[in-house]
Amino acid sequence: MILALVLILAVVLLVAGFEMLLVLGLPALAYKEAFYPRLPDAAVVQKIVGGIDHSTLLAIPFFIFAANLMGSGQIARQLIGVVKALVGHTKGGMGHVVVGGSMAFGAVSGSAPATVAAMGRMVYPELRKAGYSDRFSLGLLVSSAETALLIPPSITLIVYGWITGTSIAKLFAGGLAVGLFLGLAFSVYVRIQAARDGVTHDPRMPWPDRLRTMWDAKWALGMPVIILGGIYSGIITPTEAAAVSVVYAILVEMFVFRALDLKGLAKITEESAVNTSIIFVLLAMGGLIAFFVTLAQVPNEIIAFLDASGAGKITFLIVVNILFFIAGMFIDPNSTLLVLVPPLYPVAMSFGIDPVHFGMLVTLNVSLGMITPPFGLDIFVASSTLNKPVEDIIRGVWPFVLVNLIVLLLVTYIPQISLFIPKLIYG
Amino acid sequence: MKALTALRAVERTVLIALFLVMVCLYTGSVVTREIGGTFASRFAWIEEAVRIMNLFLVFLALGLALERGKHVGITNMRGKLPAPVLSVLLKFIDLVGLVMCFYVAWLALDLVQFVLKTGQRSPTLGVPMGYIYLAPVCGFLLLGLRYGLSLVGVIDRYQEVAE
Repeated sequence: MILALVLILAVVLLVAGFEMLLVLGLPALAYKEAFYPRLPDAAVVQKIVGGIDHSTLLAIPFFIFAANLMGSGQIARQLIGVVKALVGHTKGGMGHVVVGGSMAFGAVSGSAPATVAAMGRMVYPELRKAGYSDRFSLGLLVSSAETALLIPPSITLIVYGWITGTSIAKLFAGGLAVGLFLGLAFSVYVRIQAARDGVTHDPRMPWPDRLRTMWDAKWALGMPVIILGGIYSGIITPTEAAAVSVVYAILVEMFVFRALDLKGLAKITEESAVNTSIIFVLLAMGGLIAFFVTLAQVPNEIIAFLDASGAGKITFLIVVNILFFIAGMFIDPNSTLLVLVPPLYPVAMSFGIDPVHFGMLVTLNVSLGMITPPFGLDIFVASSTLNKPVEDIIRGVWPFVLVNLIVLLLVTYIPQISLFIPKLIYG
Repeated sequence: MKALTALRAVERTVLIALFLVMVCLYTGSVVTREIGGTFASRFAWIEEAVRIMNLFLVFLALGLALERGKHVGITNMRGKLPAPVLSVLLKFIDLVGLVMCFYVAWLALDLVQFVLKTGQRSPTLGVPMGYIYLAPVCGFLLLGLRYGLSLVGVIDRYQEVAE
């Protein structure tokens, strides 16, 4: 009865528009008072601080900082220029550039909303100019940004790795495979739509020109080389790669492109600190919730329930997909992970599901939540960035939700999609 | 208002300094490790220092984030409420936020005193652990202050909602 009241309290706070830190924090504090009144109050603060005091998580502030530097400078623009030179001539032209550009920006930022904001301003007018409908252009922009949550470095994968203790490098390898797969699926849909709408595309750029574009963008291309090359060569850890990428971005934007001065650096640093705080306070409150979930032995209860109902691995995976899909429609990815992964991960392990495969499933689900009405965060980011009504964006997003669901089904039931790159690298 | 402007300036300066030092220290640790030898082992404290700085960065930015309407929340449904009801709801959110923040700050202060008495120190820097728990004390006080200022109408953190 009390537990039901605590859950109702959480839902009421969520719907009433309380900040997520209150939506997570208040029920957790109420639960503590109701069920564990003798638990020292100090433990509450220890769990809040313990929720974020971990060296793995340091990658997040550094990647946020690097993404903000690149998005406001020249690096992101040049990366998109390279993608345009390589695929702008194909049937679907700008549509493929948006998918590839989102993946390239995702490969250096790790954040879907940052990708929507950065890409939206740059490529929306060109999509319209090429002949894509307004609805399709908006849907494509919002949906392609999802790949940023999968293509490494991904903040969502870092959070999942921290919650479950899974190797971040292996998760990044799995994310690369699933991110590319999702991007490919979007490109197939772009190709079909381009044929329907009869859109135009750039003339094929001769190879010397393409190579020149790539050479001109050498400093921008250095960023993914540092991040991915550094991690997979074993020279640096993901957290170190994140810190080094910040220094690289500052040096390149300041001294090579001259697109950043000290005042700009101070502004971006401050913005990045605020962005970090927003994510970490959720992780801190999530630490508290995870503690109570463990104390209440919720995973054991779920396992016992599944045993009693005779449900197998397939049913469990369906339930996981439905749970994450619904939660993702209403809550942001990190909060969804913090609430659902601690009780479900041990159950997944009891079914022998690979931690990396489960991570891909979870991340694909929450990234789908980012574009799913009514509350997909990316929809609102695109609405404010492009000054378009939310309703128009939602109409454009539905076909991509369908494409995404097909990809989700394939990733769920064919683990090899998630695992072939990690196995290739780590055996 | 002058005090608030000064507070914002202090918060911003501390956040910028903390973040840039964190980046420099962490990158520096990679460089020293690549140089190698016993030289690198002298910098084993860096990771702990950056972790502690990150704690302060996160908590000290909470207030500014609220003031700028940056904290994540599902605000679409409340936006459909009639203006008078919405106005009451927003004040109620501020009040609840204020109470929770001051409660958590008080719990954190309790923990600071308790841990300081135990004499526990951090492994590599040797900093008394009690001081580290000052981060949530300061952070939740700053956040609670912003909820309070919004409650009494000194700041308008709901500007977008009102529009």
